[in-house]
Parts: sequence; structure tokens; C-alpha cells
Amino acid sequence: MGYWRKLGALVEKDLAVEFKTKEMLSSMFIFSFLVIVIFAFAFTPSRATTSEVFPGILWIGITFAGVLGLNRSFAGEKDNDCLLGLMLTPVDRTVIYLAKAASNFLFLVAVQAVSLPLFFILFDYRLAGPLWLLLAVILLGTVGFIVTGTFLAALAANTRASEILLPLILFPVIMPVVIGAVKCTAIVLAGVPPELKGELVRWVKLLGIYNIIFLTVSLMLFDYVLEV
Amino acid sequence: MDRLVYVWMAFSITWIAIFVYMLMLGRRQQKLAHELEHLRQALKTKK
Amino acid sequence: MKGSAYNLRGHNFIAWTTGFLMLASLYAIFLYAPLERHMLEVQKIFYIHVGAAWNAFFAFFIVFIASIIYLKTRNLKYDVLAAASAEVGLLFTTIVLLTGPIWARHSWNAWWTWEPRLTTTLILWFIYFAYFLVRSGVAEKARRAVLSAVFGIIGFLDVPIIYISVRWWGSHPTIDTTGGGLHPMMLHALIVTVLAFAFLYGYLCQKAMALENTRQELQDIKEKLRESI
Repeated sequence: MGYWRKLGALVEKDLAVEFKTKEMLSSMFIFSFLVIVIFAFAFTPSRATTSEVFPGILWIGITFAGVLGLNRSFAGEKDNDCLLGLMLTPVDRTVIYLAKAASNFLFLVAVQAVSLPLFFILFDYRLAGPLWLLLAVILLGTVGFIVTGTFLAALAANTRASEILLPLILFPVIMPVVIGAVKCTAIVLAGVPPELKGELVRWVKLLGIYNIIFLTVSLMLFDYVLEV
Repeated sequence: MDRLVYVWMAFSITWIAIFVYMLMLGRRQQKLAHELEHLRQALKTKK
Repeated sequence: MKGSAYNLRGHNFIAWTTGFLMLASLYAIFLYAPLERHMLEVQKIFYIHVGAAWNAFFAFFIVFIASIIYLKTRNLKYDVLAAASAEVGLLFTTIVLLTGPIWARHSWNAWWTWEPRLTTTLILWFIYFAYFLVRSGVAEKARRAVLSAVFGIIGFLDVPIIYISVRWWGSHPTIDTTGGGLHPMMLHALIVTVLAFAFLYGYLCQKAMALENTRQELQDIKEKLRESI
């Protein structure tokens, strides 16, 4: 079986497992929604505060929902030695990593697709910049989050108290993504004023470089994480 | 002088931190010494 | 200078040199370096602040190198080095984060200024802490070494990117602490202090490593006894 077909098969498996119960997806979505509501109460949404704070809230929602999904992605494999089963399949270990990353990415994007409009509605926010650019920027940030998140989730799965450990080890490492994504989102939401265009490009480049570096490093080091 | 208080605070905190760490190392060593004694006793009684 | 698990090679030399350099640094800071124009005496904090900071990052670099070598050779000695280096690195990072606000409180009347280098040091502290969390979550020796080595590598590679992103993030007018030229005599004092802390790092690291090696030997002896009984 070719590399990509194996990858596809693994992703299919994850998707199939999830669609049986839709438990994780719904938890992620509800959690994201809860974050929105809590922030709505925490910040009395006057127009000025909202526009300042909105990109940040967006990404906090994505991050927290994302961590929830990441925790589940490997926790499920720990039971019944599923992970061992995966490792016994005749695949290059990196396929497992990429497949997990791909399925995590799809889940998070699915949650985003539903919760993003909800964010805009509840905060009565007007999008000034182009929609495609906003989506591109959000996807770029999500990729960075998922790339590092999947790798560290696999690492944390080897420890006890892995569910508490993951956010603690993930958040410091993910800082550049959060900073960059919030900055980019803020600029796009404000309609990309010409004086900020250079800054947007700069941040996009940073996110891109982060993604490439961490994807590469994760691929190189994943074998060690899965060793028995 | 207020300024010297700051300088004193910074230097003191640094040295306190270093000493706290050395105390931690010392405590670890004590524990090891205890265990060693314990082992010696155990060996003696085994004989 | 004999080496063994308890008294590593050259430990006495390092101990004495540390003491000497620390005294030299005190002299250099208070009696050699000139008084800074605006912040006067409080500027003297800068020497330990920066001295500790450079060595904190250096310690993390050693964690990085030791992690890589461990993964290549699987020799546990490198894991012991990484763990010890991380401990001392965490100590130095804490010192940077404690002296920074003291200096800032006087100079800019705010305990925390989100200055890029200080903020990066804060995140470094969290990464160090995470490193220890990973270590404490795995019981088996070799597995712990592998996982913490992997995390050490990822953490270290992240630091430059963190620095750049924090720098760009805060590029509204920030106070540039050591921008502009440093008076040559101040530079000398700084170098002496950095060296003093570097030797302190070496001294503490050796102690921590010796302790860990001893602990490990004791474990091994206990295992052997248990088997032979």
C-alpha cells in the first residue's frame, strides 16, 4: 500500500471512530461555545472593548477546544493497547503522526466552522477584511497548533496524568502560534489597513516558518515518542 | 537610600535562591546517606 | 584530581574558581564599573540579571545538546547531565525573573514591563518547568530519558522563534534596556559576572550530577541485593 493510502486509511479510521459517537466533536464544540459565553459575560461588549479583545477570545476558544480534542486523540489509543496495534502495522511511524495530525486538524476545523459564525453573531462583530484571508489566517494558525499539539499529545500519552500534562507542556511551546495568529486575525478583522499590511505579511511568514520547522522536527523525532 | 535597598534586595534574592537550591541538594544527599545506612544495617543483620 | 561518582573531575578547581570569580565580580560591579548616569546604583542589578540570563540560556543549550547525544548514544550519563543542567537552568531563570522586576520597579515604576527578553525568559521558565513535569510523569528510567530528551530538543528549538514573536508583538515603543553602547568598564564587569555565573553553573551541575549518579548506584545495589536474596 502506498504511503498516502496508508495515511488515508488511518485518517478514515479516526474519522469513523469519532462519527460513531460524535462525543469528542460535540464536547469540543460545546466547550468552544461555553468559552464564548463566559467571555461575553466577562467583558461587557461595548464596541471598543469587543474589537480589541475579539481576536484573542477567538484564539482562546480555538486553543481550549483544540486541547480537548488533542487529549482525546491519543487517550483513546491508550486503552486496549490500540497504540501497540497501530505500531505493529507495517507503516512508517511518521504515517501515524501525520494521520493523527490530519484527523485532529479536520476535527478542529469542523468545530471552528460551527463556532466561528457563532462567535461573530454573539459578539455582533463586523468583519472588515476579506473573508478568504480570515479563513486562510485561521487555518495557518490551526495547522501550527495541530502540528505541535499532536506531537506533544503523543509524548504526553506516555506519562501518567497525561491529560493535565498536555496543556502544561503545550502552551509554552505554542506561544508563537498564538501570538502570530491573534495578530494576523486582528489585522484582517480590522480590514487590513495599508500601514499594517507589511506587519501582516511578516506574521504570516513567521507562522509559516513555525509550521515548517515544527512539522519537520516532529517527523524526525516521532519515532522516539512511540518507542516501546 | 531607597536605591541601595533595591540593589540589596536583588543581590539578596539571588543568593537566597542559590542557597535554597544548595539546601535542596543537601537534603537529597541526606536522604541518600540514610538509605545507605539502612542498607548497611540490613546487610549486617543478614549476616 | 580523581573522578568518581561522588567527586567529579576537577570539582575542587571549579569550586575555587567560582568563589574567586564571584568575589572578582563583586569588586568589578561595585568598585570598578562606573556609576550609570540615570539609574545610578540600581543599574548594578543589571550585572547579575544579565549574567544569570546568559547562563540560563546556555544551560538550556546544554540540555539540548545532551538530549541529542543521549538519543544518539542511549548513554544514560547524558540524561543525568540534561536533568542537572535543567535544574540549574531553572534556578538561574528564576533569578532573572526575580531581579528583573526589582530593577524595573525602580527604573520604570512598574513591576513587569513585557520587555521581549524578559518575556522570553518567562516562557523559558515555563518550558523548563514543563521539562520537569515530563520527567516526573514517567517512572521507567530509559523511557523518561527518551521522552525528556525529545521535549528538551523541541523546547530549545522553540526559544528563538518565541523571542522573535514576542519582540514583534511588543514593538510599540518598548524600553530598550541595554540598547546603545555599554561603557567598556561596564562590559568588563559584565564579562566577569557572566563567567562567575558560568562557573557557578558548572559547580552546581556537577553536584547535582554526582548526587544523581550516587542515587542511581544505590538503586542498582538495592536491586542486586534483592535479586540475590
